[in-house]
Amino acid sequence: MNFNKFLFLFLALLAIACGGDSQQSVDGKTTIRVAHFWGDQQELWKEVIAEFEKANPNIKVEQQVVSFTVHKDKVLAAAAADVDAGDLILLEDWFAQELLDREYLTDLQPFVDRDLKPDQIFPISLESFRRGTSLRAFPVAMGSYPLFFNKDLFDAAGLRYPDSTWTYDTLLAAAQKLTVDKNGDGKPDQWGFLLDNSGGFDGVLYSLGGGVLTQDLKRSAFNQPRTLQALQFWVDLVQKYKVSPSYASIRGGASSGGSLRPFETGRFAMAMLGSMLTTYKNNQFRWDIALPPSGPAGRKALRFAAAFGIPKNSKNVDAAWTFLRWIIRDMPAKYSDRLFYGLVPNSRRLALSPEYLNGQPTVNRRVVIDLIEKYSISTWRARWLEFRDNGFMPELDLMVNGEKTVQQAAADADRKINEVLSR
Amino acid sequence: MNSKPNIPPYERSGFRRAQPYLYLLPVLIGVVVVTGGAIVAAFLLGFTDWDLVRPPVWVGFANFQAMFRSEQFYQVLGNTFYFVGITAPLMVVCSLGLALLVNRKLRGITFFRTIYFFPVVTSMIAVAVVWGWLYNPEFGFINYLLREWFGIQGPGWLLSTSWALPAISLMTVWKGVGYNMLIFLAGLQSIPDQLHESALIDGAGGARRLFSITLPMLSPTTFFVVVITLIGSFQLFEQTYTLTQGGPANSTLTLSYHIYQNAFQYFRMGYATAMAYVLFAITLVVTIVQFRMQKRWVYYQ
Repeated sequence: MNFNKFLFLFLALLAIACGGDSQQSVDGKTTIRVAHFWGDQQELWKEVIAEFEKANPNIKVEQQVVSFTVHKDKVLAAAAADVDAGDLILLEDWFAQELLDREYLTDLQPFVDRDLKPDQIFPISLESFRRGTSLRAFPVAMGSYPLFFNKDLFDAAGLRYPDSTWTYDTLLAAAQKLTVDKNGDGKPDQWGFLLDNSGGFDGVLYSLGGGVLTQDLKRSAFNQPRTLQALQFWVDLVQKYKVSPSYASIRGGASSGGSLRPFETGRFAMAMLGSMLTTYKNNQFRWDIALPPSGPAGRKALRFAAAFGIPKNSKNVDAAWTFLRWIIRDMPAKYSDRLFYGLVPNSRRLALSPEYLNGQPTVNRRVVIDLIEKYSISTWRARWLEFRDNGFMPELDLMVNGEKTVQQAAADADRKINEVLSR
Repeated sequence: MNSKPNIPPYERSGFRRAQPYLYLLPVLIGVVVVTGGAIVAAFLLGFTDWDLVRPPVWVGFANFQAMFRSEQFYQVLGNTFYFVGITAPLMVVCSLGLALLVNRKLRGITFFRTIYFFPVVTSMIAVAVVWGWLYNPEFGFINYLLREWFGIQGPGWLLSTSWALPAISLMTVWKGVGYNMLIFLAGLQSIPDQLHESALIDGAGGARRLFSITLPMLSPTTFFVVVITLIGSFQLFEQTYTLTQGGPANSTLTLSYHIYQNAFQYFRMGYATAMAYVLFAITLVVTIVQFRMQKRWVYYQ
């Protein structure tokens, strides 16, 4: 065999080995790949998938589970190579927004129109996933930022639990009574309120009449007087009233030296936290959730979701949608409690089922449903992560720690956010 | 007489001639496609606006212009140099000190060498979690010691804009010192014993022998350690990624982490690759300067 013939044979074999058609059919079944990052829910997903496959014998579902970072990078690598990263890919809001704007995902509106009635789902959940008339991802569950409170600490202080009549003045008054220096060293051992710069912050800001972005989400709202007042309120909680700790005590997590989940330490009477309720199941105290207080601009809280998208280049769009539709329309309610970490399933049937409402941990889950339906706002847009990371979060760090005044921090945040958004 | 050697037909075949190249092919493919291709592609991508999802668009020097106009870039650059400036000298001095300590013929010295090398083979995640606890301002061991032994209230460490980067530097030194110690140890053991013996006979003390024999003879090793430490320090990523994610207030945001953020979080792959080339250029210049300066202080036998 001469060299040319050998080289040809080698390259041909290489091409066969590398290429290969994507296998869509195994024993006459369509196989769909669900790419997600909920590794600790893998076993539960297996059960759900088994139920689905029983009801849909022509579709086989494979899970592709990696950590969130790897998942995100995998989706991006697949997009760069113009292949699909799975037939269904799980998306966090900020990441979904980036893919939505870049038209990487299939329009699901025709499927929704055909198969789902508006009263079967929570239509508000779809809003941030729309671009024009198209719907580029479908949220399977949603959450918001209710007011978490530690019942044991409230009982010990003889205070009434938070309710829907609360304003931020009520919250401050309660927080002052719930902040306790037990050992008399001049530093509180128990804090009245916890607010960090995650999504809970947005709700406070908007309720107090301020905002992160203008209503059209195109510019920063950090130059608005109401935003400055809201920021001052936060700084006062830390520096003037001393009912909320500075970042030095709350931020970070195991990795950065603080407690990863400060509320779980039992040292905080109240906190504005994301409603992934099952992640709080190990709390060693009695707790519940309530609607966040209302402010001069009403009661507002950021809404977030766990959505699935189907890449445009998926070869199994119909089968992928069938699985998604089955979760919303037909999945047994017994999974609704844990499958989405206690987030509200985007299916009224599941969300209002006793299995969900009475799920563990037993807290007032209707609060989150109410919050989402009546009071939630969405500020999601592309570059969300960038204008937070590089725009205002560093400024808030400095502001709350007293290294910058509210005015300085707001002015710098305003400039930086607009810089990112104007690109 | 036929001048041609009597080569059998098999030996003359194309296959036979190509055989060595075929053996090299897998490595060549790897080097050319995976390494070379990525280097060239990254260089070209630096001149594009590419969000990873849509096709890249050629923008010329726009990424570099944006970078040099960006206030944040200079903050990040400053952080990077600050980190290198405190980490590299500390790393070299500590690893040399440790190497001198364990370069003794004592019983059980292998045990100590192993102990000092342990952090090198420990996962960065595990190290970050443990150091995160150590640095906890309220419950951490470091502040506990400062409080109980010296009556000092320790800083917020990773939560303080002034202390976060030195804290990461300290952890980096602890994690990497064993590796450099091993290199220094190999260097120390290659210094001929007779040099020290002659010096001893001439009445030289320990300090004199250290500065007149050990350090000069060790200078090629020191040079190597300085070069790799500086390059490694410029590439700081894992520590900030696992411990602080660039915070607080971007005080630990270094070039490598900022490149990652732009590429994989902000969808600015073109900008990120441009920045990667700037990092490469900085590292290259610093390394060239060191090579130029080695004539002044490195002695080869």
